[in-house]
Amino acid sequence: MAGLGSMDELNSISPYVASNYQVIRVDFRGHGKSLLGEQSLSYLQYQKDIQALLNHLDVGQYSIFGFIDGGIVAYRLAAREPDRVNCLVTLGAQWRLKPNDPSIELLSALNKDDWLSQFANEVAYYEENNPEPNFSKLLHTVKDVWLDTTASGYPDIAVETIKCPTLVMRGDNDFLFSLDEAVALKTRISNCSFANIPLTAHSSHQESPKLVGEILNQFLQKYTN
Amino acid sequence: MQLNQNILYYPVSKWHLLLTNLLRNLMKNKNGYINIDNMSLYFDVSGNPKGKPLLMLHGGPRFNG
Repeated sequence: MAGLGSMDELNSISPYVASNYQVIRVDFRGHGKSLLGEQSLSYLQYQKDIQALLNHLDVGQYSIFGFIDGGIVAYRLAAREPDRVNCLVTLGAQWRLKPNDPSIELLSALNKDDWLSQFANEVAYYEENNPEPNFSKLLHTVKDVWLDTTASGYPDIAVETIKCPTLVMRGDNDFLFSLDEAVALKTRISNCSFANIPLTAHSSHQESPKLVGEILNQFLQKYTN
Repeated sequence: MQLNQNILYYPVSKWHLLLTNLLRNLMKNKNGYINIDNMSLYFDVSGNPKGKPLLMLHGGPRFNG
């Protein structure tokens, strides 16, 4: 299972929160229906885009669910805006990239041809729905985002400034966000719960939507009412 | 008997104002593009308009094993 990254991949769990919350979703730059633009991408840029959108919508306080890249941006937002973020839930989201992290080799090796051969339908969907599709450029650009170890990338120790109730989730068989790294993250956030989702790998919300959706809704209900 | 219309008018007016402000403050469900730095970002707002805001952020293009 894989996705090119767009708000549509959240459709599996949106129904579990739609009756209680007003759900705001966005396609990151270059993803889904959003344009890529000419600027280089980074998790910091994604964060700024989200802040601009929330200000545009006149949103005050809010909660966040973020999946992998979305979770990394969510950590950044919660650390940056502790008075604005009520509650944080992430899934499969790394908080740092250590020099020996096994995901570096995997992410570096990711190339367009491999992707096209295995996920032609997803690429076709992207090219059909994006106003200015350029998958080759998108893949090249997001690789720089994933491998960015500067301050514009992963939050790293800034996660220690997260104050809101936080739930970190990962698939039990996730090969990118390890159990050790999840536990290390839990020790750095003062009010952090942890859920290891059984029988799933990297996309637990798609592999086990009922379990993840109900955990998400239950956690949000506890801390936002 | 002369009805003092002010008694009725002002409370109704106040309620109307309150309701108008409440509706104005509710964020309507919608979708579309926002322009940021000459770049267009697509978003949608759905779910319960009276509910608290929940931002849901997707992942990037990656393999899953």
